Amino acid sequence: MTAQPSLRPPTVETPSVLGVERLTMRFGGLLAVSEVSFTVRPREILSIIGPNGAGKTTVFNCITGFLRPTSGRIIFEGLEITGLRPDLIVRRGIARTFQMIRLFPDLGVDENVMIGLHGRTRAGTLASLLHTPLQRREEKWVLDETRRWLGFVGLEGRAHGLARELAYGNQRRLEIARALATAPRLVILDEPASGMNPAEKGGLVQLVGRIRDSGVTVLLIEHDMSVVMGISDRIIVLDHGVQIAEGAPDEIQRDARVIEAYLGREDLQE
Amino acid sequence: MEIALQQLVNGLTVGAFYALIALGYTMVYGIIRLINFAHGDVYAVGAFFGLSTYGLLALLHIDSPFLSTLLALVVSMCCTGLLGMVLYRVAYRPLLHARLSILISAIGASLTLEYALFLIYSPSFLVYPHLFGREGPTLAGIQVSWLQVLIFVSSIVLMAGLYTVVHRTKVGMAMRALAINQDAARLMGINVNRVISLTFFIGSTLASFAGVLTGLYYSQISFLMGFLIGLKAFTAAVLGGIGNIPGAVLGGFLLGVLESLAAGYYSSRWKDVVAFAVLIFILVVRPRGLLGERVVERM
Amino acid sequence: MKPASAPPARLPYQAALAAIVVVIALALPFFGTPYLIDVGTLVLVYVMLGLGLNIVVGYAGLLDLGYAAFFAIGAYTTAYFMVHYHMAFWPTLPIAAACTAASGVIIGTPTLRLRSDYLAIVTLGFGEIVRIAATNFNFTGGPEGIYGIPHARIGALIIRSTPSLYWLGMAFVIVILVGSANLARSRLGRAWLAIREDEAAAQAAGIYPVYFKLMAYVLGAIFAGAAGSFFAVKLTAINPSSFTFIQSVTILMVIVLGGRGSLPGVILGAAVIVVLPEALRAFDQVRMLTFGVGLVVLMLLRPQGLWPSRYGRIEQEAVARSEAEVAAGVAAGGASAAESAASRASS
Repeated sequence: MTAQPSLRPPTVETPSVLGVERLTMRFGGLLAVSEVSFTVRPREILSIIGPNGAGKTTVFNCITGFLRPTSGRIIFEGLEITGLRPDLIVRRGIARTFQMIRLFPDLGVDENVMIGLHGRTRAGTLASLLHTPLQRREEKWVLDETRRWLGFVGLEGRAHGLARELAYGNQRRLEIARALATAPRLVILDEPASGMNPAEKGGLVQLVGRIRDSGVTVLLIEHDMSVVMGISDRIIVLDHGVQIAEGAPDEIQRDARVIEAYLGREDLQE
Repeated sequence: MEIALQQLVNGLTVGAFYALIALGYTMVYGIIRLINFAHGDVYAVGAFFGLSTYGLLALLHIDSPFLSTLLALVVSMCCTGLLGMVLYRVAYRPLLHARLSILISAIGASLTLEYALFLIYSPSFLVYPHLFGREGPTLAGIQVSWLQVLIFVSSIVLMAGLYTVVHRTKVGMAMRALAINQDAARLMGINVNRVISLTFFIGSTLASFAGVLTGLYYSQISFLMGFLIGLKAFTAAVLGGIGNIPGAVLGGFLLGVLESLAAGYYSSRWKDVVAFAVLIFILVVRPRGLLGERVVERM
Repeated sequence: MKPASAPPARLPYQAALAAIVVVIALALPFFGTPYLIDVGTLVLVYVMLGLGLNIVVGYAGLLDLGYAAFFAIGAYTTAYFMVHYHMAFWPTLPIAAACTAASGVIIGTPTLRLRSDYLAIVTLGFGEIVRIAATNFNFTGGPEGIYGIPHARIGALIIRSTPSLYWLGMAFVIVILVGSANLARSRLGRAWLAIREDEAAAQAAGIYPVYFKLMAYVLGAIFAGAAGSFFAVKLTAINPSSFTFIQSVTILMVIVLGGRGSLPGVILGAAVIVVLPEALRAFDQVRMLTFGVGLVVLMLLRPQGLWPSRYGRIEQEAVARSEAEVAAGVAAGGASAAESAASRASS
């Protein structure tokens, strides 16, 4: 129901899920991202870190279609997606969360997940208007699937409340459930741990691990080094829109340029 | 050619009305992002206040055309300006963040003003004093009345005055600051409510100025006179780039001329369609309007 | 698990009110005077219109101030084909639906990307253009409109009497009501809610807002067209004066009064809008004034409507936020404002 096999290259096993090539984003005179290139390998957890204003979220917005890059290419599963509409990118298999949580606060917890299932259901205007048997079957599937994803993120008992009534950490989880409901093969999390307490962070690390174990590749922006160092397979460091380092967590921790970029500013603890 | 020039003169006169009213729309929209639906009716109220003043002056045997017109303008502008502030205070201020509710409240305010005029004055047309004749100078073979000259010149003076206030005074700076970022303006110690009230006051005085002059120009007024002209003035504001003061003036004159030419060359029955067609066309092709690139500056 | 868009927990008085409305609606054609039945039929027309506009304003959150245009297009289409081509009533319905849908697409496609308050003005302009066109074209009969529209028939039965027109209207209402309820708890309904709440988040969930806004617009147009068709055979004569800006505002008032997005609210709103002016007929002079003041007061006191959907809260909170901000602004100065804000807070 989800995959669009025709869009994938037939048999070639692509070495990377996502390829970002010389991505540049300019806002007027401000160069937010400059010639950033990296690849994301299947089933890995790749983190992008960097001081505030380093251009991390801009990179994410370009990948997910919310910004059109000034130049550069973005390749997903072997096909170029540069400048595609956000909703089409979601349908290709990339889901995201937002730095500032963007749930539908006045809708039900369950409805937030159901909306994530939008791209995987087909009921059209006429079917919805007439409440056809096919549409009813689909709605039943939607309910099952919603329950499954709420369970996956640990919100099974909360389906009936409003999203705004959830605690902060649970709102993050709900946003992740909504993203996962789109059945992505790559999920992009923008600072999921920000504002969480240590217990919630522990739960988040576990959740991200389970997402990867379920076969979904994870791309992460995170400030919290305890989270990043604990779960990342690889890390990319951006500073002032330029990529300054790439490697495994222990390599990054020893990298002189990274230490300079961070310690020069004292926001390592953030 | 002569028709074209004659229509141009008529168009510029009507355009001055559109421009004066459009300024009120554009200033309010620039500051609180509200399409002040009742603004056209504020203009109508201005015309009626003017008529009442003329009536009062006639009772006092003040019948010099210039003195009575000056007094009618001043009285009407003050009263209408206050009405604008009351309107903001009662119908809009409690709803500033409720996007849909405030617009509906504006529609309600519009109906309220219209039918208050209907009840207080008259359901039919009222006749304005006929103080200025048709005579006047001849420019390039075109007969122009003194009233037209007065309308055109005084509007330009008022608009230039407004531009000076907005760009050269402290209050004007507060307005522009508010248009860009209300929270930041508040933190800088600007009394946001007072500045918005003042904006409504200024916009309403300009509309009432146009209202009195319309009464003199067409020599009749009615309680519904503000509805259509209000929509057209809003069109003019959008045409010039909403939130932009020179844009509203340009849009007003442009729309006036365009409409007059359409009426002169095609048919006056379809004249009103021209304005709406222009509106839809502009919004689709260039939503920020003719002078809209200065949209960040807002005013 | 509860259904997607379950209605809010019903208060006892709401259940009682609903029961009373149903009983009145069913008993009216048997016990009412022709005048009362006719008023009831008019209520049904406004229920149809309200339900249609509710899809645009209530579900999708788009403000339409020229909705009477679609009502007009439906009415004129049915009238034109019945009078000039001697068609029966029923085959004109799909034609009317096609015409209104097409006009919805034509006006919606270029404009739905605009800010919503711009959209309000464009729709208003569209409404005026349609009315002026109907007044000036020959095939629409000019200011006199089209008259001598035949009655609808079912087989040999001519729907002419007041009660039979009432039942025909009721049939229209039930079809539109069921359709609206189905839409609310469908994939489409959820997409509208998502767009209304947060367009960017909706896109991140795979929804293309422009398509669904257009769909809301087109469905709303078709419902208004159906109401127009019924209106034509009910009155047997139509003219442009039924399709003014005031008409658009009246329809908007139906759903604002009842509660945007709430189906029982639309029915309640339509009843109030039609019955109240009828009851106040003696005070015809002040009717419109009351209407205007009523709109403002309603927005100030109860922006969520008489029978709010559970999403009515959103506007209510926005109003509360405005008041809080006003109160904050007061700290910077302005004693009279402080006083009034305090009195508002205490009320």
